[in-house]
Amino acid sequence: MQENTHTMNITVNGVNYEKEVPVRKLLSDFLREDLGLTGTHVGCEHGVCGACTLFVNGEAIRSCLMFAIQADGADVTTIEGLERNGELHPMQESFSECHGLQCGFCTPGMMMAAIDFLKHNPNPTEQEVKEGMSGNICRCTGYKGIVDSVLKAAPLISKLETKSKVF
Amino acid sequence: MKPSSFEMYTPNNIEDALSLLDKHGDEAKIITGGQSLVPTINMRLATPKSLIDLNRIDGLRYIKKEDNKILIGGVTRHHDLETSSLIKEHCPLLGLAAGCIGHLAIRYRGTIGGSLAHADPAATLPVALLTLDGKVKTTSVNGVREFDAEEFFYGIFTTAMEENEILTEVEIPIVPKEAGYSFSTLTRIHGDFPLLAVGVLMEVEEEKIVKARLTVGGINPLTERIVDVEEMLIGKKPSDELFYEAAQSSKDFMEPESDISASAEYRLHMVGVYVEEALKNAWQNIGKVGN
Repeated sequence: MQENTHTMNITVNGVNYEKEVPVRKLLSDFLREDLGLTGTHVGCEHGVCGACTLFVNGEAIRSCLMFAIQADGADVTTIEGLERNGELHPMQESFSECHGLQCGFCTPGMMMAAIDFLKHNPNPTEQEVKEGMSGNICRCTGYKGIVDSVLKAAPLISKLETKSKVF
Repeated sequence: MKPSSFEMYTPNNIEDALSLLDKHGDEAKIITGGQSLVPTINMRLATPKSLIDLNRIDGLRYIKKEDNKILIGGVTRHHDLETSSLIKEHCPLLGLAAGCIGHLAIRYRGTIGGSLAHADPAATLPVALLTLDGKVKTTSVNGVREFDAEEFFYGIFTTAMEENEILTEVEIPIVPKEAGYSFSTLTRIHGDFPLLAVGVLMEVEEEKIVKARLTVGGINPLTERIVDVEEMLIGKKPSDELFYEAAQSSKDFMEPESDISASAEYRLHMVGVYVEEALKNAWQNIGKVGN
């Protein structure tokens, strides 16, 4: 059977792409397979684990619950888009310093969710971080390092100039 | 690719969406947030031949006040509900119910129309709609139909909607300032589907309860108000004893089942605990709507 495709335009990390995409292809698979951006990880593929979290038009969403063609015209930021001019984003620095990752599988989704969470709550308590990050599952760290990383990143991100905040 | 093959339509106006839906009938599904639909498509539990995406239609995402009601467009996101100042002022229970849905990434996408039309027995918005005496408007090529909350839900994933209808608007009467309210959920993990969701709206005049609405979701296949317990409260003076008795009586209307998340016994026990607390909370925050 011939695959049903649509043509779409999408901006990912500042780069514009025009692609012909199978209608049934998930945004997460499109980014990984068609654009080679394998930083977005695919875990449960039904919206439970949070590993594929990324930004579409400034909001953190689960890319396994969106069809790629639904992002036609959208501005997408993946984990690859966090680094600016060779410098890590404060969230990446903090994850590195606080041992916020072990195997790294959940890390991209964790960081994207954490950046989004801090937009709404720039100065959270530890309990608020735990609740705010509860949509992302990690099977290695016991979460302590992750919570520490988000708490460490919060003041650093607050200090960033708006234009370099990424979102 | 996980989903089976389908065609996707992205109409720019509601008329086109309605005629597409009318043409494709039960082979088509409406998609807005996709937070419940896409998992079922990914697992191929659902294999629709067509999806009609309403996200490109302007004018279906709004929260506005008209006379003594709040009108909400079908494609309004849960996050819009939880952050809306109009909802906070006039029907805060709805904002609380929306804020209990999953996680932020889900609430950015998920919509009120999608959640109500999906009619998951563990969903929080049906509990809010019933407690707040809301109405649902559906639209098809044949026109608009309006349902009271009680008429709308039939059971698990089943509503009064025909296959050619779209849930276009939700109407919530403004809650009087002198009312008290409560909304709470019991979850095993923060952000999980609730084992239990309880909504209460209460009005008291001259030390007597004159209006009581109590809805329990997550236990029975059909989320309903517990009218018998509401009637038991009306005309009585609020007291801890009354709320305890009402909460215990609520259990008579529940038919919980055991599963991997919790035993039937635990669920029933928690109905008593949560309803009692919800009634107390509603009583304690009487007069605080909008503050």
